[in-house]
Amino acid sequence: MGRTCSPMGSFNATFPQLIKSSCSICAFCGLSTARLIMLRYGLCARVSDMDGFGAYVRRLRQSCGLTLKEVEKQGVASNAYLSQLERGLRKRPHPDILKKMAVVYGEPLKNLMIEAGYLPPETERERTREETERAFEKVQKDAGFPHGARRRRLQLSLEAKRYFVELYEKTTGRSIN
Amino acid sequence: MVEESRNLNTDVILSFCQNFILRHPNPWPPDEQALANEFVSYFASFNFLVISDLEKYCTATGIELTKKSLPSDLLAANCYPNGKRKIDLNDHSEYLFIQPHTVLHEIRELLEYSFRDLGYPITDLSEIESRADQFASLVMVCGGEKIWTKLFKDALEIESGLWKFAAVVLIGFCAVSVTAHAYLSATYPYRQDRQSENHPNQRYLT
Repeated sequence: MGRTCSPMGSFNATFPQLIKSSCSICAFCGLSTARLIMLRYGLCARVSDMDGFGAYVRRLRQSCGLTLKEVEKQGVASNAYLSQLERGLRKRPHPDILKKMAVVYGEPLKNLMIEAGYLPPETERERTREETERAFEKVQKDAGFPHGARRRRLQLSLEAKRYFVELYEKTTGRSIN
Repeated sequence: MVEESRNLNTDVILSFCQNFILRHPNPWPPDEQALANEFVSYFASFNFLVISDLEKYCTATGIELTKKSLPSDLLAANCYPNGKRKIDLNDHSEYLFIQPHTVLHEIRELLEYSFRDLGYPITDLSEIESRADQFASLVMVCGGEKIWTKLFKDALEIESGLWKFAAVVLIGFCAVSVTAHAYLSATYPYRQDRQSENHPNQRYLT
């Protein structure tokens, strides 16, 4: 086996140190020099952020009674890649891979997308939307806050409603629960 | 100094609305043409065709105009809490060329709040958008008229026939362009909406 790198050790290295000491893509962790540099400067998520997702996909696979090689045969990805993913050594997989996983593991794609961080958790998203709608209704009913907008569409987007709620709170000094 | 502080304390927009109500009692509600004409002559020192002058107008009349990033379906927004007037203008490059029209549109809505305060609403909320668009276009055209008239007069004083002809043609072209721009600005958001309906990816997704 060739020289291995230590991703978390290199994470705190300076740019010149990274250039000097980093390996090319090594067999141990598969992290490239470019990825280490991106990690160092916050341009992508730390691999350790994916530990939760790795454990999640491992549970899914084990609940289906499949081995990594069997999953590989079904065309999801190579077993080496899947192994690294489950150990939290890979960044979140591309949605195309998640689609294949959803089919093989019998898990709704939405759940995989949420776990991988592509979508916010459902409860959080619904709550925010509902709260915003409710707060915007209050803003509209307040006669002491005449307001209007020139807009592209007849229906206001959720973002626009959120903006009006914030504007209301900022200009009137009142908060809407 | 005293004069200056008195000016600052006076609500200029409310004064304009009071003045308008006195001058146009019948028929009420008046049309947007009358309001636009009065607006241009009342605030004659401002050129309503350019955004920099509109910014000066807002500063002078106590309107807080802020250029900022807004949700992409909003060109601008206004509010009038506790007698304070505020306009937020979307600084997205897509809307840059219709900014003067958009600011005038918002000013018209702010005028409506003042007319309501005085007990003389001109229009109800269902019609305010189309009337504000109409008002903004008319103010741009009326404001432009002053400039074109002056320029035409100056051009007519040119001695050389050829240069006089060229100047008149050029000014005429500019006048027509600005007028066309004023009217096209009014329909821009609706045209954009129709286009984005044909191309769903262009629409702002919530």
